[in-house]
Amino acid sequence: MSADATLPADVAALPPFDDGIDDEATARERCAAFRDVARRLREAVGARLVGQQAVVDQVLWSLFAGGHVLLEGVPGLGKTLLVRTLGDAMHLDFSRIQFTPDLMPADILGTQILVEDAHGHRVMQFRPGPIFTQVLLADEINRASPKSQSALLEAMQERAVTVGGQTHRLRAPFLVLATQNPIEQEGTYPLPEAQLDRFLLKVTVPAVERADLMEILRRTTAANEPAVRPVLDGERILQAQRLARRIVVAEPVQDYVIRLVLATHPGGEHADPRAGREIAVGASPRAAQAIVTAAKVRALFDGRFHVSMGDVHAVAPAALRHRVLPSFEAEADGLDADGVVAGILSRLPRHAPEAST
Amino acid sequence: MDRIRTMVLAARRQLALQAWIVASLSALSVTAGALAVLALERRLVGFSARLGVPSSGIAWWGVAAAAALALAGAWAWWRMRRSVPAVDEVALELDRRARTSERFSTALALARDAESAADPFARAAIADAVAFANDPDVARRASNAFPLALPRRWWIGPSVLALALALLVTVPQVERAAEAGDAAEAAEAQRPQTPEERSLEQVVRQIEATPELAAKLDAELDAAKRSLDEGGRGPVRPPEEAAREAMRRMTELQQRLEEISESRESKAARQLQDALAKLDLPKEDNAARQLAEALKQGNFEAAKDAVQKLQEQASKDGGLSAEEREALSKSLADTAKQLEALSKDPAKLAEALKQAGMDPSLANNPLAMQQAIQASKDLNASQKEALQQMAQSMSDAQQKMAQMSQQMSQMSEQCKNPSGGQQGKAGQQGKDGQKGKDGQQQGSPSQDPQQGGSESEGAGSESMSQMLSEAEAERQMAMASESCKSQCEGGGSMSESEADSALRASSDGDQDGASGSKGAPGSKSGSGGRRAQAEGGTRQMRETAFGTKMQKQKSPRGEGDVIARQLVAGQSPVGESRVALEQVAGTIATGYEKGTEDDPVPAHLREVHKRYFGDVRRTFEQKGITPAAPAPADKGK
Repeated sequence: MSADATLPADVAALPPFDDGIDDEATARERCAAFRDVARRLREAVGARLVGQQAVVDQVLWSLFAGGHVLLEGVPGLGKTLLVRTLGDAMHLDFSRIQFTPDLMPADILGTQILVEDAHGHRVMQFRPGPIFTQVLLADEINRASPKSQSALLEAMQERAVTVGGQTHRLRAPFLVLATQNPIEQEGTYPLPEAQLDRFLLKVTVPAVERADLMEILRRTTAANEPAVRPVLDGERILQAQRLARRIVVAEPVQDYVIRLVLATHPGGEHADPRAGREIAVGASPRAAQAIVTAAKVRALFDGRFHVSMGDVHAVAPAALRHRVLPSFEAEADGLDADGVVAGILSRLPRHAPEAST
Repeated sequence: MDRIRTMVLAARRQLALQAWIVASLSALSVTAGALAVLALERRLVGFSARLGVPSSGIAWWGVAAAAALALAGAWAWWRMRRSVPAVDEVALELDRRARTSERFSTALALARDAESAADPFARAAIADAVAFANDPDVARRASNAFPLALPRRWWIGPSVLALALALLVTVPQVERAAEAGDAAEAAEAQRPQTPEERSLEQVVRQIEATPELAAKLDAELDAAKRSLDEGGRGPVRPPEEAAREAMRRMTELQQRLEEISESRESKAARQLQDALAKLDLPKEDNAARQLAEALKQGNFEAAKDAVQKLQEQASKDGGLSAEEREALSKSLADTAKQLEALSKDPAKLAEALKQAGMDPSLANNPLAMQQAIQASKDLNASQKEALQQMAQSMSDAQQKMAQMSQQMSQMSEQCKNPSGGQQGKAGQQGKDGQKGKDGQQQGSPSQDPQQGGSESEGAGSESMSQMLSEAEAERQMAMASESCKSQCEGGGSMSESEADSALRASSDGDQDGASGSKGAPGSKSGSGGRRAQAEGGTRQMRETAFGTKMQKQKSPRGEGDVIARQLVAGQSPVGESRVALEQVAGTIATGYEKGTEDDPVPAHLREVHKRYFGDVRRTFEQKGITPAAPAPADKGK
């Protein structure tokens, strides 16, 4: 499948987003071009998915930051539709795995089978699993056993799969969009912290509002489903990811991010005053990376060349909520991870003397 | 970038100013609070005054206020320096308040970073920030982002200051505190005197009213005055300690007054006064009668005036007829005879010897009496000493009366023969007068008989006057010491009005005495034990219309109920213990000395103890009851 053949002509005619940026004007031009494409991508998704703009934005931040997304929400909120629409709009290979308790790792990664070659010899041949794609929808990921969940670890982190002693690289870009249902208790296996940490953001999908539901009914009960044309391909996405990483982060903002992550460590030097009581396990350094990269994308979306505190505040809940484990006391007080993170954000000073220069 | 830096620095200045306002108001609150507390403390407590902090004075308060304000200002400046944030922090705050999405802080940070200079994205970020800074709307928001405002509780400082000033102005001074270096004010500002200190001060003032007594009590008076001064002006001294110190000084004074009162001179003066009270007045109403009357009353100052009058009348041109001269001479001679007789009257000494269980006839032989007293086994040491002192004082008094008698005889002769040469006799009298002046007269007889008679006459009356002056001084001192001792014993029981009244009476008495007026003796008398004190000066001590009258009634003794019980050492008695009244009383009488040694009696009760137990003892001695040792429990009785 040729991307150039299916992409809009103007998009295909655009120079690479990240190439040849040697001066300010070029930077402005490339950023503006990216913003235009990103706008069209959002419009394409919006043509099929009603509402959930915040969810779409967070998924796009993660996409252009090169990270995976964990979508959490009750069934029927459009999680799968969102992922499928993104796959359609980006002209990427798309696979879907419905996680069930009897799902085996081989069902995800692939397996080696015995086949006869042209000479009649029997040889072991690797048959790739559904993970060998660019956009993977891991539906109801917490319904699979931990063994099967762990099959995703290497693919998510290393973007490669090792089967039978052979490592198979995945095609870039590789994006895992996992969904999980928070209310299901029976037959679910909570994701281990190590795997949760592989997700750049955890996006909470809220319930739809009345107006959105009306529009959903109108669109989904009509004869024709709105068609979505691709506006980006894999190469453009990789260019956009490299472009986003060039957004600057000033030292005060970077220091704020560091202090924010350290504030979640109970007993640490920079721990939040309530961290010891409310947090059992703090965020890992991946959290700081996730915040900065996602914030850069947000700044790029916003037409800025630098990351602001607002960017940090916007991405921090999604980057931290699955990396911070609330303590028993916090849960007893009715405080979830979002509440804990919100409290830290509200108490953390914007400037600390140690960071002053 | 300059524009951004200018905006950030302006914001920093605003923040510094705001911090200074807050710190200044805090300093003002603290300073005003301290001032209010100090004002209240000065008005109501006065502790700082005792530490030497002046209570008033515009200059002092001005300096203190200026120093406090300077300290507060320095503190405010220090707080401001500490409160003003760094440039990066100000830039962040400016970004937040001006809603510029950290453009300014990022631009400042990137401008410092050399690597950022080559980064087109960094340059674009800086250019965006500069463009924002030049945007009038953003500039307006930035300039309004740091308004100067009073803190929410700005009113506390001024309110406390107003309260402090109001306290200074309105709250009355409850106890004025002493100020260092301001002695006059300190006298009023010291803490209230304790009753003991008031009593000590009154006693000191009373002693100082009698110069002779004050001279003898010089050291004790100095110590007492020092104690009074330190109690008010020195370091803080609790009232209890001040009272104890005053009591110590009072006891010292009392002991010295006791010594003076019991001295040989004082006793002699009392003996002389008692003896002269027995004088019979001449029938003729003349100067001799006035002299005798004054001597009888113990008013030696008036007697001196009478002698002066006599001297004038006895001269040739005294204006008296021969008969009047004769009568005057006779009156003087009668009085002289009475004095001579009194000087040889040993009745009182005999009575004392008799009471001491000795032969009364020993009073006629002083040497034998001394030996008998020393050899007596019935008397203890103090009794012997008391008897000897009584004998000595009586001897002194008798000697004085003998001298008076001689002088009056000489004056009588002079009256009878104003122009006669009494040179030899006068010389002889002068020799007996113990005065060198008289002795000189004896050794240089006058060539002119008339002149010689006049000189001898003048010398006799002068010697009499001098003797009377000395007697008056001794009487004054004895009386003053008795009075002061009485006040010491009274301790703080005398009210201030009583003390003032007594002092006024004493002062009046002194004035009367100085002017030679007899006045109305006792008109300013106090009551009871304050009598002597109130009669300070030259006023005569005489019986008043009230007093204590001793009445004795015989009480039949016989079998009856037990009226006294006592605890005795020994085996615990079983049943009822009964002892005879005589034994109980005897034990009490003999137990006094031991009791006062084991458990010192308070100074003001010592005299009462002595009198009471002395009376008990005398009563039993008169009844011939020998004090017995405590009797064992008598089970049968």
